[in-house]
Amino acid sequence: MTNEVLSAAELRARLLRTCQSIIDSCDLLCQADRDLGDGDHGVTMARAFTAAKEGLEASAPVSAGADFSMIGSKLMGAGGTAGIVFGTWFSTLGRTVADRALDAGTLAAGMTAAAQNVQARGKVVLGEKTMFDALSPAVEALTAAVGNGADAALKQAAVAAKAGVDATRQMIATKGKAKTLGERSLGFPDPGAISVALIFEGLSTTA
Amino acid sequence: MSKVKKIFNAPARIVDETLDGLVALSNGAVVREGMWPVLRRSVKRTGKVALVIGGGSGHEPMYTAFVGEGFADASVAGEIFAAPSPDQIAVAARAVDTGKGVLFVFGNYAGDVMNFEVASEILAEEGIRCATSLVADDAAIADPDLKRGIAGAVYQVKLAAWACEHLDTLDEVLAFVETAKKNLSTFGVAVRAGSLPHTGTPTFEIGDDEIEIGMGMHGERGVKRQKLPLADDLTAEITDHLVADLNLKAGDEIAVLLDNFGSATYAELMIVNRKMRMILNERGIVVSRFDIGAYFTCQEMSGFSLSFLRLNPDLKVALNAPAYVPGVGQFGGV
Repeated sequence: MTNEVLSAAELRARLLRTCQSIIDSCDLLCQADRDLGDGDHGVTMARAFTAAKEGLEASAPVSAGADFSMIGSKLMGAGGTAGIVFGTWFSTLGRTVADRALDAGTLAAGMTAAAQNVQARGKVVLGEKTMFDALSPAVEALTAAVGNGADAALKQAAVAAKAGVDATRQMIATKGKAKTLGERSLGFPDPGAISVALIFEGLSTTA
Repeated sequence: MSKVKKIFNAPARIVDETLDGLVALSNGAVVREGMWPVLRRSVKRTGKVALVIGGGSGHEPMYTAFVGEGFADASVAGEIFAAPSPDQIAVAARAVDTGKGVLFVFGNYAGDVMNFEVASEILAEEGIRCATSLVADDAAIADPDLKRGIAGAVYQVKLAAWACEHLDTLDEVLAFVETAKKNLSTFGVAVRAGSLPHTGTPTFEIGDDEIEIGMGMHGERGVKRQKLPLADDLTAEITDHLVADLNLKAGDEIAVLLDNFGSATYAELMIVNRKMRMILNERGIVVSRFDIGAYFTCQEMSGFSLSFLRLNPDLKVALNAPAYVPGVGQFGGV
């Protein structure tokens, strides 16, 4: 088994690449949001993850928990729906992981707590065509794969998140700015879910 | 797709520079709170519940500019179409709270609800009491939980400001505004999208011969799309919808706010006004106050909304209280 524990340095590298990947996906996310909402999801995400990236770059990679918390507070400060939702995710992850080594079990516990807080803050359930429809299956897949180590578990999470994105195409939005579209929201994937998949892809990819 | 042209310096500075422009024209009436995207009255009002309003930018003058006499104590501006952050909201509340608590008035959008919720939690820990009256006036949506907050916000904020000025406690203020807003209903339509300045792309695509019915305030799509009707037919549909939504009857008195989403022409609005008045006259519904302007916009979106507020003696007094909005001027109705 490789990479049984993700070192703070390795996590830092992956988090920086994740931030960059979100920043680079600005146009793609905006287009996805134009199909369903007001077309600014990519702008908000890029702004939020630029702040997160700058926060990381200005600090030494001390612990996984500190990095997650740094990202959480920067995202939260960026405002918008994305800021509060993704900020809640990373802040909870940071608080739960704290200064522990990032093995698969710790990561799964952190992600599970984070998904619960995101759900509570957003008052969402599965099937409402939101980012939660990618986050929840990803966290479940990650938890199911803890025995295989953090790396393998993250790869499973990334696969599940992508499948979650595809599943949102068949959902009718009842939350967020797409909620008034009714059946007109069918066929389009949720932009927030796409962002979740990008994040798990970034977290699971070695350089 | 060709990009929409817009005059600005840099997308990241649009909100900042808009706020600075507003401060500059207010003749000292409003100031910014430090470097935050927060405008407040330069002279702090004490001994009353404070009113803080806010939301995403890009809809100017709402919510940002509606600070001052007859309106809010402070406003907090998010990025374009994005809710302000909890920190920013908390800064606005702290700047104007004088111990009697803070009423938040903002639109019913997931991002705003969550960010104001977190801000309220932060402020509660500091001992600042906050309450929220959501703007949810969109008649195009039946489910009360899903109703969006659109141009009726102008009236709701004004009524809230009066309540903050004249009622004693946060609970009384909240109860007044929550009761008042049951008399408020808005319906919007648009024929052309506005565009996000960052990307220069329209927020939705629409055919040359089409209209979006039940338009929201962000260019997010409405509830149905149809071939462009004649102005009179469209006006009749909207007016009938609002009359039914508020269950208006002969003898009822209403205030009407005709909001320009950005680039509707004056002629279009007058043609709508003409037909709406004819219908209301026929039904014996009296328009005792009329406000027209680009109060709540969506960039250069072409369209409009009609807001009806059923009046009673209390609401009439509250709505007609003197008010001034920097950049908009006297808000007195006609």
